[in-house]
Amino acid sequence: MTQFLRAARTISASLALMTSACAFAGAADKLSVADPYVRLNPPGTRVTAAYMVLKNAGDKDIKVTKAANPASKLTELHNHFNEGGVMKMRQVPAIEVKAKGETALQPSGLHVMMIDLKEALKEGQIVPITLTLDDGSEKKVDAVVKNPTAAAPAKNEHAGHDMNKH
Amino acid sequence: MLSPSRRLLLDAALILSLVLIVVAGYRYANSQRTEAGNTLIPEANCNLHRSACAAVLPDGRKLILSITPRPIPVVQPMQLEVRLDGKAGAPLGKVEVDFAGKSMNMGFNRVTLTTVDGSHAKAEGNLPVCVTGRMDWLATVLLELDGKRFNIPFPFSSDPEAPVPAQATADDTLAAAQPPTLQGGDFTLLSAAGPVSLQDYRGRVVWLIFGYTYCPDICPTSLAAAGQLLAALSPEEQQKVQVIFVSVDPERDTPQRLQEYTRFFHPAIIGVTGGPEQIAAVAKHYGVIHTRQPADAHGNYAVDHTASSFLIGADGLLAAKVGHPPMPAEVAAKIRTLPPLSSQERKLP
Repeated sequence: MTQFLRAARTISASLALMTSACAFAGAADKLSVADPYVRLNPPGTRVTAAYMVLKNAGDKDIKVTKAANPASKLTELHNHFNEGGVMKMRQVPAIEVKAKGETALQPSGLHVMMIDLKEALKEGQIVPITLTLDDGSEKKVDAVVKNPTAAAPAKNEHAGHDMNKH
Repeated sequence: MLSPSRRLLLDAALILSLVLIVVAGYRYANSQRTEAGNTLIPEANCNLHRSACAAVLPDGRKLILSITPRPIPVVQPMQLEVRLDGKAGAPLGKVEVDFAGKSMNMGFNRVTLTTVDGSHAKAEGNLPVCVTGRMDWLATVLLELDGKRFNIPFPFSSDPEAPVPAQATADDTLAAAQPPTLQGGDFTLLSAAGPVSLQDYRGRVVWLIFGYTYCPDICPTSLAAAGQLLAALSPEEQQKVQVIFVSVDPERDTPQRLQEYTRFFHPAIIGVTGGPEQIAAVAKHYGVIHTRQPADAHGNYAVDHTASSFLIGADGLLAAKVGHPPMPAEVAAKIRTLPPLSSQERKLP
């Protein structure tokens, strides 16, 4: 029995190694992120959202299945549905980016929801967001905190840094 | 202040709407109402997810409603087409398709079709999604033909495989054919600085936005737009516009909390709240639906609500409904067509 367990452990360990090896050459390499930002939350509030444009240069559809960030206790993927004029926000299992396509995360649509902020955000602060893709690979995005009351921002190519993490 | 004649008119309108509500309670009401028009029942058991569906008009022609792609998608755009089939007859007048939840108030969702020729009209529409499971819809074609109004309710299920829902009752049909109850109206609610009444703002344009401070995305989007609008107006124009944010979460939103929240977006925005019954009454007058969602493990909950907002004219009457998300430039343009801003000479930039 212990021998069996040991064998199982070895197998699972090598499986884990294999998946991480796969992740290394994963979908994250095909995914680029433009204009990532977090909306500065109004005083007294502890939720906000991150927005960005996801671009898939690859030939296969990519799904973002998870997001994480250190600024909030909980990070979820959400979408809004307009139901007869009532906007309903619901958690979604994944955000899809079609092959050679792009998906915009924007106010009133898809977004990375940051729930239960640990402390108030500051304008200009950088929030590192880690997106986990359906093949297990990860994409790290540095999103800048923006004040929503500022006039519609001009597109700033340097607003966020875009790095891969393996 | 209201002039006596206007007050009389408002009273008359109120009494009239009360009477209409009572009348609507009767099953035969729709045959007595000219506004609802004549209801025609489409051919039975036709599934709009699979094919076009038809109803026979009094002149013998068939009206055919086609929604593509099939099955009918949710959220994604769909093509609506109405055709008249058969011998030549009176040309199509105004054609609209109204989508309503069967026996459920889903708000107002109506598409006006563009007439291609006398017997063909089309438009692109969107079916508001229902995320909570299967539901029955009514796609009601409203048309004018030879000076008469007809409404033809086509039932379908959100599930393409489900049997076609039973034909609408007279009440459903009437509900679908009625314009929304958007009479608006005065109210008094509480801000951090004391009571605020809509009637205090006669002579100004009021942008009325419903929401709540725990709202994660929709309300900040609307209020950010309101802040940008105010910032874009000249100081003289700003004096003539008031943005009021009405809480649909009276349990959690105190006047102080609302003030702190609205000030973040613009210092001139006023946040108001009141008792749950007061809020419900105001929301009802503006056709605003608000539904508290189940709380999570931490007791946090969302309040689904109508995202559209409202422009109230200087006369206190509803002037326009603003869709979501509001575009500050579009709202500014609309506001500038309303008195007192419309009468003002503006320097062009």
